[in-house]
Amino acid sequence: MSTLSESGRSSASLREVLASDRPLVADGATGTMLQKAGLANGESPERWNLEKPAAIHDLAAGYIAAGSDIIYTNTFGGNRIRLRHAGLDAAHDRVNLEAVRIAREAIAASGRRVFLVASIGPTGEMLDPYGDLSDDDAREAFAGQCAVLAAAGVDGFACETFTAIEEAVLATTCAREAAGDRPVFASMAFDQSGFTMMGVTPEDAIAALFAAGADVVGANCSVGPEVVGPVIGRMAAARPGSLLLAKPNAGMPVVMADGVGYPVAPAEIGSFAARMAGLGARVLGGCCGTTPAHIRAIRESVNAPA
Amino acid sequence: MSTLADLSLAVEKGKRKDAKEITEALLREDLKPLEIVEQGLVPGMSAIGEKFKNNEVFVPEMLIAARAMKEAMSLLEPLLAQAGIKPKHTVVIGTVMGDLHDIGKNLVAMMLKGANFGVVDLGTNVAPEKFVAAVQEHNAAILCLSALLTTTMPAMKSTVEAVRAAGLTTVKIMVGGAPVTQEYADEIGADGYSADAASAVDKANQLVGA
Repeated sequence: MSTLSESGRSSASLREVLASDRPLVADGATGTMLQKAGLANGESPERWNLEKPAAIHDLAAGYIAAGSDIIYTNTFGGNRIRLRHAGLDAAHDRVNLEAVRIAREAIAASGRRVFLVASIGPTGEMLDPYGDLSDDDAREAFAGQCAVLAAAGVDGFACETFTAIEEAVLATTCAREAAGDRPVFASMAFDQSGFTMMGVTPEDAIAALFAAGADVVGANCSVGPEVVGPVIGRMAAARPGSLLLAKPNAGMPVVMADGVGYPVAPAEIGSFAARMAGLGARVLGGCCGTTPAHIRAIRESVNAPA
Repeated sequence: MSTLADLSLAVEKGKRKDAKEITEALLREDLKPLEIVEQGLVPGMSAIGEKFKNNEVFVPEMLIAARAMKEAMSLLEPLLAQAGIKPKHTVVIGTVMGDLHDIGKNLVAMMLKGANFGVVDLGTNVAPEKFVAAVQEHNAAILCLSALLTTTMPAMKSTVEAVRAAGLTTVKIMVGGAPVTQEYADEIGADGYSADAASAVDKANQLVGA
């Protein structure tokens, strides 16, 4: 099996590549990597698009060098509602545009064909009737962010780490509208129980998110491989032949002698990814606690002859 | 005629409008505000909390129940204040410094309110000295610390140290959050730990000897 890097400057779109049988290697963590690079706890990672662009560039370059076919923009918390909490709402467009520009630069510098997808995370608030956020305000926030990122020239969208199905559907719908022909990924974060915090099952998620216009559905964050594995299995069983996405944490963080660490080793994430590919997962990567070493392990594992 | 049991059920089911109307009706029937809280709202929140503990319902059901309770409380609170009735015990609660997660903390806060504790919610990313000041100001019986990130758990330890260093030896400190364990609570000298928002009420009651 050849990697995209060996296929040279293929002009195939992300949608076309997804339609082939080849699993695509996405990237790993953003937040925990930036914390290692000095981002303070509680500080908005998106602020670094403006204040520390070199760190954002290096993060992207690290994943590209490790073998990512797809990298995500540093825009997880880049919707207007979340940026307001970080005091960055006035910089909404710039935060999102800079994220694309920096990642594009890293891709260009690599000389490889790497797809850039726009990360769209939750608002951080609860939709009515669970909280005070109206559907209209949430829709406006997602649509606004997606419009800026679509115009900036991303190759697709990745709505991720949602726990409420209503909000995931809103985000996916907005991404779908902004994306035009470009693919939309949608993934939720599941707990040990096999439900999301808001009580959503893998079966509910896959039905609602495909109906909202997603091309790829899956699980990210979600404790680690021991939770993501069964969730992907249930999604594959619910809708055989679906394009699925698996981006687990490197396990639950544990306190180690030299600080906090994530227990799942790169090799483990690598063999997990190969197993997920066997279940129909086409987008494989990592979330909190994963590093370029984990992505390299996934790259090697999905490239290995079956 | 509306009954306290109807109010409990409206809260448990998260029926905001019903909770408000039943509370108004009960007040018209001359029930005492405190009676409505203790025999209407508290059992309703306790019922939904029990189901949550047993994984029969999830966070959404808890949130809408809490909103129904809040609706009723907005009618009752001014009357309680007028009558000079204050909750017996005050809890200061917040997510520790560096951590912006608030859902777990909010759930615990609303369950404690639902169990008729006075709750002072300091929000997220709260510095140790702010916790100390609030415990002093409100003469809190309990301080609840939340952390959702392992990376912010050390801020729990420094907050416990700051509270004790300020001479606040009687306030009971409870800790919780996804990465927090009983072991960690013991290690940092906290008085209590609970695994979920409903158990937090049991623990709080136990700590104040109720």
